[in-house]
Amino acid sequence: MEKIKVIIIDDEPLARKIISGFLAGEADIDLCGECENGFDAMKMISATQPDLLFLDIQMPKVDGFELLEVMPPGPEVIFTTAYDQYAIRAFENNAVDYLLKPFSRERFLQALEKARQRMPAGRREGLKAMQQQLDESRTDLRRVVARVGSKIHVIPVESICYVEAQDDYVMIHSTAGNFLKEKTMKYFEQALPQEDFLRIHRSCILNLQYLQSVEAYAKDTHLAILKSGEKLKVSAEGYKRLRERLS
Amino acid sequence: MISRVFRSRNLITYATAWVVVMFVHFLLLLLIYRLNFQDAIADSMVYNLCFALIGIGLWMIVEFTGMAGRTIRESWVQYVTMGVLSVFVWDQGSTGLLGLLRQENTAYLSFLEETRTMRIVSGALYYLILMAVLIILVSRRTLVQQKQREDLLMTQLREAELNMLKSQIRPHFLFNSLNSISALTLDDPEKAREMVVKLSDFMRYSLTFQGESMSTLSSELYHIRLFLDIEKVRFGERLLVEYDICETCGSWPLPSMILQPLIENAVKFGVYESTGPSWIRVEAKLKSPVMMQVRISNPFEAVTNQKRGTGTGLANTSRRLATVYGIPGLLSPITENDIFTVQINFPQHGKDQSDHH
Repeated sequence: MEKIKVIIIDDEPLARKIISGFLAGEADIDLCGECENGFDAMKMISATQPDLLFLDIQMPKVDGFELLEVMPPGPEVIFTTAYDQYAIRAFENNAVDYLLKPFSRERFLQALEKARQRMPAGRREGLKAMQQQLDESRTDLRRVVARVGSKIHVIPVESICYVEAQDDYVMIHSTAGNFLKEKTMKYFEQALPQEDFLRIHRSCILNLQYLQSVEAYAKDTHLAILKSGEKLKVSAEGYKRLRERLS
Repeated sequence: MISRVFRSRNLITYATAWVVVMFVHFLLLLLIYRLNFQDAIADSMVYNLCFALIGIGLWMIVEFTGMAGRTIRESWVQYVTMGVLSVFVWDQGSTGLLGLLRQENTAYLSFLEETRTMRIVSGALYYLILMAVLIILVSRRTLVQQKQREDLLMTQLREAELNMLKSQIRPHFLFNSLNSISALTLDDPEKAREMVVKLSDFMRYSLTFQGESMSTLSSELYHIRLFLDIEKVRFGERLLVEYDICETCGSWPLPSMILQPLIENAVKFGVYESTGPSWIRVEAKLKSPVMMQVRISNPFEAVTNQKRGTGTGLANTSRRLATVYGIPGLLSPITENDIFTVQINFPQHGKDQSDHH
């Protein structure tokens, strides 16, 4: 029988230890490794292609949800968290299991059993639905994570110049380069800080910190000139919003 | 409202004022107008007692209606009407009464008739003075009450902010610590027990914190050590803590729990947000015989760290310091070379203590 490959991701050593301790008695588990942050986890996931993750939410720089956003699909996820009412609501409505720290061995084994049941298929519908629910109520985003290969880039929102729609994706134009994300414009419009970001076009959200000037272009359209010299189209609706904001 | 008018202290002041006016009135009649003693007494008593009675009525009206909620125009109309009415009633009443009392004294009655215009004018003057005093007193009291309400509201707001800040970090800290203890029980029960005791001591202290009490540096540091010891168990080698405390500072007075939020901030923006090793440094030294300085520093990475969030915590502490010591600017945040330092100067005496000197 093929063993279940597991990775533990938590920034606290003792929190990892209790999980590995509980796993030690399980014959069908192959513990591939433990990671203390999202960057290492990303590399290890790409290298070992695990079946199951124990994933902490609160971690430095890249939190559990952000890791989930960028990691390749495949592994089942059991979340572990101490206290996060916002996240717990998202878990409860979806099929993903989660462990509230501290947890008992019984509760732990129950979650593990649930994961075993789902193992062959690797269904991600629950995760998708949970991600969607988290996205819907997201506001005042402080950073965006993006993946290039197995490397995670953390983009602070201050360094984002503008966000542009590209088919089913959005392209994030930042001072550190351009990154593609599988999210909607609606999500970014709501999640990015309202005081800096403004939707100037159906396909563009602009960070006003990078705006140099606005000039008339054609009937009903204007051009936003960025400090970098780039030019972006502003729709009639967007121009109205822009004028309201800048006045 | 009525009880306020009849409160003995107010009423005595009011009566005394009228007795004085009455006496002046009496002297005027006796010495300048050369009235006889009885006429002068009757005249001054009737006129002034009448106005004093009307005045109580006016007083109650001002108390009842207050100054608020009406336009200036409405107020003017009301005050002028009240004035005309009062003076009219007063004039008719007192002249009528004196006419009855001094029926046989024709010399006096003709004097009364001659001076009637002057009396009406002085009645109007009485009215103006009385209303001015009443309005000033009532509106000043309203202002004081308003100020008290605002102050109360501000204190409650600050407490709410403080509680919110506390609840941001405490539940995480508590449950994660319990999880670490749970892990320690697997193969280091001794250390687990030690941590349970530390966590209990710390939680007891932070739960009994009342907000106004004073403490000493050594007592505050004791609890900060508990907190950081627990964090060190959680984060292992990722958290390094350094203390540099001058020996004579231990008994220095400072508001209780004033440093704890700053330590929590240092942890939150230091080790919580760092993937590598992080540190916290706590220093205390005497700047002068009457000033102790505490510095709390931690490294932080400007790029990924949230700018927001730090502000409210620091502002709260700063406000609390200003309230306790009555001096602004005791707390200053310093950022240099990716190291964030909060520097606080603690004077030897709080505001209340120094007032005695």
